[in-house]
Amino acid sequence: MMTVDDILVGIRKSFSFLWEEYGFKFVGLMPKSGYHDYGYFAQLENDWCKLAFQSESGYLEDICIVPKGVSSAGEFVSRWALLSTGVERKRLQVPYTAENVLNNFDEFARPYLLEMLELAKTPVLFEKRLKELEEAAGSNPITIEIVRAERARLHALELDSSLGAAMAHLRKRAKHE
Amino acid sequence: MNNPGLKEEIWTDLRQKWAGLVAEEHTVKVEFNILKDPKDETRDLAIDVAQNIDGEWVVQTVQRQAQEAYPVIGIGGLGLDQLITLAGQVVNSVTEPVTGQGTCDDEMHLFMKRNSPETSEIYGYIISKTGEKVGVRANYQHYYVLNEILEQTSKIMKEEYSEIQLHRNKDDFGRLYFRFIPA
Repeated sequence: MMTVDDILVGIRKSFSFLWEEYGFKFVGLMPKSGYHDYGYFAQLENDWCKLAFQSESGYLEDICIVPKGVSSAGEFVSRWALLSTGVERKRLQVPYTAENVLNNFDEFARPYLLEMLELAKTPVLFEKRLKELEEAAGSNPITIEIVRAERARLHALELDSSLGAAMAHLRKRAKHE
Repeated sequence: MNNPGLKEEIWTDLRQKWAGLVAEEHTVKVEFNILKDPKDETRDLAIDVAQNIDGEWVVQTVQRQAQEAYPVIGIGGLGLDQLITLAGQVVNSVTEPVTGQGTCDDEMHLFMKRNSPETSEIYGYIISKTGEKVGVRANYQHYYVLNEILEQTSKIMKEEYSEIQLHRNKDDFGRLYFRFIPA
């Protein structure tokens, strides 16, 4: 089981860009959460939104983002990870070390987190984008394998093969299908 | 009222605060509780200035010297995990006489405002399962545990906080929620 010290050190280290680039501050902690009390709930806030790091098992599973002034419940970063990874969501939960989980978040959820942080500045756009993502996920889920294959294809073509570029291509293709 | 041995500027601030409250027709009663060094009874480690203002307790604890009393309190070398467990226990020690043991039917709200690294004031209340609001009288144990949680969190997060709050709500199955107010 992870200690509170490990959890906070892990969040501060792995998500230091939230402090440095987005002006977040740590504001809350529920050190025990989840069915067996193994989880935790940690909150950050900046001028325009709130973030909650959530765990049921002791390892980070979800990041919830809510723009300030929006009363509806927030959405979860893992939900966007789910949107991109579809049925392969388990891949985010399989590695049972804190570092692996954080790395997986970084690889698959970070682009969505960054996008949502920018969108959260304008709550109307934030909610619109959420709806788009939900609709896209319902109609045509994009799996990790599909993302990897697209990145490989773009790389072979000597095009921008970043995760963002691959996702953009896949979304565009999904729209036309 | 004579100074029980507080640093002069803290004593002056307290007297000014009480004079202001009395001028506004509030009722103020003050008690002192001194934490002595068990190895040297002539030596004071901390003082609780317990102020009952219109029936509500506000307890300001003043350390003589930062961390000097840690071995006496038993928190020297503890990590956040252990301090958080301890916070639950010291909070329960004042709430259980009101709420009963192990109950999740009550609410508890405790606030510690930091005046300086060596002194903070604590106040709070319980809302019992019958809906009655009951004030909590804290003491130096609360102060030392919460202050050290604040110190360690501040160090990890590389931030300064002016206040720490503890909340226990009915909906959270008796779990404690720690709120940190940035300085």
